[in-house]
Amino acid sequence: MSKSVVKNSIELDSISHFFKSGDKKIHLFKDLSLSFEMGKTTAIVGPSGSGKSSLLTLAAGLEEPKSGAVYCRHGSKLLTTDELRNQSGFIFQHFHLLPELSALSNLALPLRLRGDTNFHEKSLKWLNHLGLQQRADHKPSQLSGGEQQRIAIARAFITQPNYIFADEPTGNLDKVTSEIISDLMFNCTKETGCGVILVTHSSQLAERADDCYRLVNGKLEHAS
Amino acid sequence: MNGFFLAAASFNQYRHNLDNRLALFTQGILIFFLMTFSLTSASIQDYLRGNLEALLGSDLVISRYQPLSLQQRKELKSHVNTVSETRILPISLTYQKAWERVQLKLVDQYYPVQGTLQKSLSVGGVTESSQIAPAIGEIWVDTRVAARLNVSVGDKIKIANTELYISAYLTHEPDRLMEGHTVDMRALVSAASFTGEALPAEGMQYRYLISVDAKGRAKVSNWVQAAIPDAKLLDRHKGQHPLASYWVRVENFFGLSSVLLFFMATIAMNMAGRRQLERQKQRLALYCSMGIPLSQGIRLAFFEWLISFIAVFIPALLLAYGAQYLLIQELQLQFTDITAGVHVDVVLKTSLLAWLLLICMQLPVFIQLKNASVISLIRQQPRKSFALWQLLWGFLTLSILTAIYSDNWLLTSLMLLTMGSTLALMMFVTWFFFALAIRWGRKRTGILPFSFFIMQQRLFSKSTQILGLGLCTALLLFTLMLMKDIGVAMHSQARAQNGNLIITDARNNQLQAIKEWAQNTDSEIRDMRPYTRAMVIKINDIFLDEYTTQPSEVRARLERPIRLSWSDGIPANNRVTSGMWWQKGDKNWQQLSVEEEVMTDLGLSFNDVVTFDLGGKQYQFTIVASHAFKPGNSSITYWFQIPKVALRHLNASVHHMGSMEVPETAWPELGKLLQTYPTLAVTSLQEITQRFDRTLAIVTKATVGFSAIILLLSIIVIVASISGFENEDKKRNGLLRSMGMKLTDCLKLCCYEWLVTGIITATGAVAGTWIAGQLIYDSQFKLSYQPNYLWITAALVINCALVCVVGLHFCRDSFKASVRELLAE
Repeated sequence: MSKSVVKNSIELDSISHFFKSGDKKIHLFKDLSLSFEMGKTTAIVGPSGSGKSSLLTLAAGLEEPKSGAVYCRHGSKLLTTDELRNQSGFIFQHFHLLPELSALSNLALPLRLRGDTNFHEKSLKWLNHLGLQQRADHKPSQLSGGEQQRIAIARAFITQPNYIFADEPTGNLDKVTSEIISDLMFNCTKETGCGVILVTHSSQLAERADDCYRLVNGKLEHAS
Repeated sequence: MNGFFLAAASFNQYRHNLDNRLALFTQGILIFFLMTFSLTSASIQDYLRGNLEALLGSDLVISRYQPLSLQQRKELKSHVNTVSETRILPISLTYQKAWERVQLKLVDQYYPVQGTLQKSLSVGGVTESSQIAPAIGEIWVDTRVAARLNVSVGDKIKIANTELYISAYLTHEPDRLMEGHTVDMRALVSAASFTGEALPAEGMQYRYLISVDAKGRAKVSNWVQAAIPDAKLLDRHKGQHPLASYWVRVENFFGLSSVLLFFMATIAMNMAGRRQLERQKQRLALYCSMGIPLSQGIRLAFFEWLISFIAVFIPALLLAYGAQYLLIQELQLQFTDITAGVHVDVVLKTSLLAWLLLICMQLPVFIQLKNASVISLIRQQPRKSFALWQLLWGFLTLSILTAIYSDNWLLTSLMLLTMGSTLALMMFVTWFFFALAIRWGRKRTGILPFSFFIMQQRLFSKSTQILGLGLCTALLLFTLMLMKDIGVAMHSQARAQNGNLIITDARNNQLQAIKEWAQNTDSEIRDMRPYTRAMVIKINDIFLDEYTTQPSEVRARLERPIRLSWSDGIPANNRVTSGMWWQKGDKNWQQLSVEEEVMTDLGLSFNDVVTFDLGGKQYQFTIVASHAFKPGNSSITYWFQIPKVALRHLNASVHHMGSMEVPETAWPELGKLLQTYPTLAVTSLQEITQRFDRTLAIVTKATVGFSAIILLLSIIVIVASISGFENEDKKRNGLLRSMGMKLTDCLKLCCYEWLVTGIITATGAVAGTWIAGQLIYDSQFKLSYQPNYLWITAALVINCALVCVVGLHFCRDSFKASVRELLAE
């Protein structure tokens, strides 16, 4: 992959990664370079166990690569991992809403954690945007999978992060719900102008991304 | 501030959760216990301080077991305004055929120094104040003495051939405090009533009540230290209440008890915290996924814990105030002026202590929260279990705490050794059992081998559950067993003494009279062992007060003269635990054997030199052996023993201690003997029994309360450790059902699992109790540990059954797991 220099981006520079299983080293990828730009959606596809999720965690700064480096540039400034995390949001396959909190409280949580005093208005606005205003006081267990994921997506976008990392966001949903979720996610991306790094098995979802890469046998191929 | 509100909201959301409730409940019990104890203690301390001000009857009191010489009196008088000499002699007061042991106080014309005496002319009648002591030839007696001897005002009684007229009932002496709060009966008489050597000087306690200004106090203090080091000086202005050191020991005992409770609480919170920790880690990982730094997440968790602390602290504090009020009401029966107080400073101090202890327990949780990561939300992370480390951490911190609290190092070490061995034993049994079970089940099929396999798969968490349950049950069993055995022992000791009359002090010249009396009345002397009174002055040339400052039973006893005995061979009811007992004919007379517990409590070792004061002369002995009581023979044993040959070198007056079997017909004759020898000290077995029963009633009340708290915590541990596995069991049962197994199979699997847990736990608990019995019974309570096998079997079966029933009860929800639920998940 050619290394491109852009203003706001996350760059993976010749990274290699492996994990140990007993005495064995299992290599996921070697010397891999890639750049994720803010304002663009990038999808990573590939078979199970190919290392897609690991690539995502490396890009998000959750793990350090065994070799190579990950840079996050914001204009001329190089961001630290903590700074990058502060400007990121996550969407998970299993939604991970807090079961004790209502839909509205789950949505408001990141704002409250950041000390935003307008958390109530903002989360209500997002709930209306999702069309779930009737579900405000419902606990996750009272919501369908699609509704839960819509809340989870809104929760990731509500703080207007620069990057969203999504791990199989439609992996637990049926086709129709998956489409609704995809629409929501891509619309939000457009509205907020953030960068989305998306790991998925779904070709329909991947096709909607600006860039799509396939990770097979530790090699990254451009898929679109 | 926002973080604090967020933590409060989070606490509110989780407070209904069972694990959370268990942890909160445990915290609440601990805070309640500590607060109640501290508040009650503070009220008692306040009372003691006020009591000292009002009841010392002088500015200073010098107390010793021999009189001041003329020169010493002269020196003392040069420093002070007034000095009054009082003498206290324990004697048997007789009237016709009745007799009663009393503390006879002989006072001079200067008595009382400060305050007034209170007397009455009829039992329960109006009390009058008096500034003067009884006149010559008069005696004032305690109303209880009057009732026992069946005498009243106007009667005459005889003491050492001196006839005394009872002119009043004694209700209060201004120096009452010096009598302590003992149940000893009292009588007051003018010293001038007796001429010459009418009363023996031996066994007499001398007290000098002194009125003096601040400057003089310092001078007297210096003078006492230099001139009469064996004396005890009590200063009203320095708050040295005689009960203070006793109370310190009571406090230490409760301190140790509270440490035991903290042990249990650590286990309970460890068990309850298992799922809580997972939930907290997941929450923190989510916070991180929202861009919140981990440190902020941990801060939030800390705030949440702090809020939970405050939430339980307030009701626990209010309840503790209530409990203090009830306890003080109970104590008012003994100490009428005692009142319950608010004690803000004590509350603050105890809150800080409770907070520090609880944060210590929570520390491993906060450390583990550092492992929370967003990755765990994306893919499964290998789960590192810290449960065992957490348990060990609890064990370690509380061991240190115990060491700080305890005044009895031997008991502390033995208790810790017991707990440590129980833990090690249970670990070994658990791993050994599973190793065998897996080997056995390797080629077998069916539910039983499968249940072993499943349990082995979660061996680590299962071990923590077993260790927690086992340790907690061991503590519970030990507390109950000790309570039961001490009660039984107190009864049997009181009733199985060798004889029904105990002679606590018979002088050499009285021995022949006792023998004759026994012969004439068909009584039988069962045991008689010689001793002399000696005061321990120094150890290795250091004054006792400086040598050891740690309050203990032994230290408190050494304030008074001890009984120093001699023997050539090892007494039949003693065994040498270490060192070498002297040989018969050994010329070295300055050898000493010290009782094992005394050695430990005072921190003595071989070749240490102990200086005794015998009749004003000092003698040095070197410790060469240590002995212990051997049950089965006479119950009379001595702390300090020397070779018989030493007697030739000592200026010792010989006393005897022993027992007699007195037939019913001989009891009325005892009065005559005591009238002739008023210093002969005897106690009937019936009196000992009553005294024991009174003590036992107090001990029982305290231990029942303590056991109730231990029991409550045990239930929490069981519920917490079982509910912690509910989800896993649910998932497993659902999976088994999906594989076509029946509900009865799941039930069987569960039964096997709890049965194995129950058996290992019960084995560990019973073994722990046995270890505790072996280690602690003999050395600490003078009880020989004889395990009752029926009791052990019953404890094993009940324990097993209880764990199984409670386990199955709490697992009942896991049977409801359906395949559909699993699919939904």
